[in-house]
Amino acid sequence: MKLRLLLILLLFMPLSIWAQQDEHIIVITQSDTELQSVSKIMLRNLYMGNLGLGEITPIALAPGELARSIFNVRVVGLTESRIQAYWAQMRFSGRKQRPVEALNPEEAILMVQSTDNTVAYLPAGTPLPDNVKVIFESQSPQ
Amino acid sequence: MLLNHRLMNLLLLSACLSIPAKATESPVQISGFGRVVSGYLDDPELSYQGYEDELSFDSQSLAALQIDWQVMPKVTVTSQLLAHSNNNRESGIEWLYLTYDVDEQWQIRIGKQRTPFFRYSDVLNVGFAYHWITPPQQLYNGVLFPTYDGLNVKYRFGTQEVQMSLEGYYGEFNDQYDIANLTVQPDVENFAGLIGNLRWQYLSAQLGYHRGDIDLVLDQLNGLAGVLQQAGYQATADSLSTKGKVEVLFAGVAYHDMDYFIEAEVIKLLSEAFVFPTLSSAYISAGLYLPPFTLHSTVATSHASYPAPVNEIPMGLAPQVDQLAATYTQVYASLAKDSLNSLAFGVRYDFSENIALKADMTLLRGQPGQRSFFDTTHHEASRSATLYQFAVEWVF
Repeated sequence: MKLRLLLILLLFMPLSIWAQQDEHIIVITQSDTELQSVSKIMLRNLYMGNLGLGEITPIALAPGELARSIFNVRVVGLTESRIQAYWAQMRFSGRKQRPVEALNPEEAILMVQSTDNTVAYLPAGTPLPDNVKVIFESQSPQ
Repeated sequence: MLLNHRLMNLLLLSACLSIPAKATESPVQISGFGRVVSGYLDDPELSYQGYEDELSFDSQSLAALQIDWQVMPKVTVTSQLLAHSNNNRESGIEWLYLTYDVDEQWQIRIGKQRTPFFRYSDVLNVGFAYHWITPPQQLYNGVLFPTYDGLNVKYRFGTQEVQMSLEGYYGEFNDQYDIANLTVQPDVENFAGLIGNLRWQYLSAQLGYHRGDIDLVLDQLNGLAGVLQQAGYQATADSLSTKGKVEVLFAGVAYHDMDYFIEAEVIKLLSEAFVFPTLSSAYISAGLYLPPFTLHSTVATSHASYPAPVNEIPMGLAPQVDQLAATYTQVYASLAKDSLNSLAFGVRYDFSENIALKADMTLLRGQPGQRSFFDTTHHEASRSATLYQFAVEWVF
């Protein structure tokens, strides 16, 4: 009975509470990109198709990746279902196209390495090659 | 009747193509959306949006394919093919337009496009894009011209904190659709609109103004106006004029964050042309995000009215004149007024990133003596009922 009550409480707990946990993300780009750092609001605009960083192209992770959920909570501030509904509205009204998606963090790193002016988010602590740099960390004071 | 063959074919095709959305380098992108909606109305004397007191699937179910062909780096041709299960709704090419993305700020579109009257007008068929199964009919009722042929220009500006846009369009509309029990094919010239949008953090607000010069060709009505004019009742004949300006004013506000949302829209429709009502409508909708569920509730209202009939024809002069007066009065009485209050509760379950299941219950309370968006042959029937709906929505 207690277990069932706990499960019900967990189910109805607002998603933002999960953001109190210790999972974080980093955002990377090529080492020789002029961009040195970005703010949370700049990233939110970039990934939601708003006016943002000029020619910079965002790369997202596929739904189901933990880092995507953390990015949604800590940077975008919307649930996955709301983000999917938003992109359906943008796409089928002919307004904007959703960001390119990488299947996993490894593919995201390869895409950033091979394409100029791209950024991608990854789980904090992901081993990085020498030719990329970190331009945002979600645990840093913003 | 279940889903018709045309829709079934498109449903099957879209199911075959229902792979997770993923951007590629191909110049041709194929995407699509669909919905299977069932509904039941609990009053045997009424019909609402095609729903009656037996479970039906063919009122709002549909499937669509969208093809985006990138002709040049900044030029895309988009076509949307739509198949409705409801034979009263037009299937075929919903959109066909060319987009020129001049830069990050300017976008120009030319061709056949959906009219961006309200927040969800241009994605009304894409149920996956909103939380209801049926957006409030007090606003999203199809009285207004759903598409236009013309030019649309959008300009985006602002700062990282506050993002704004201005969108203007100009074109024409000449297609057949239904208003107030009548199938009409209006000629709408100088059809134009201006929409302002502001986004600040989780808050967004919109203001819009739309207008058009309408000319409705209704042979019987024009014939009656001609007879009234010949009989010397000019003011009475003028009151049946089907030409004139139609204007729509719109304001909307929305707040979405991780835990909840609230949205509201208000419109005012003003018309010089007979058959078009003066309509004031509004709704407020709020919900909780409890992933993968969204719980929501909506209160909506509309008030429709027409100008009072001209009382110019004297009674008792001659039987023919009395007959003319009676016909004129009858035409006025037949105008459908759609004042309606409603309260809806719903739940959306996001089964995966591109499939959602929904259930809605809507309490409908119309006005006695008005149509209130219902259809009935029983004039004495109440205009109150409860609509139950279930839907599967998907995009790919």
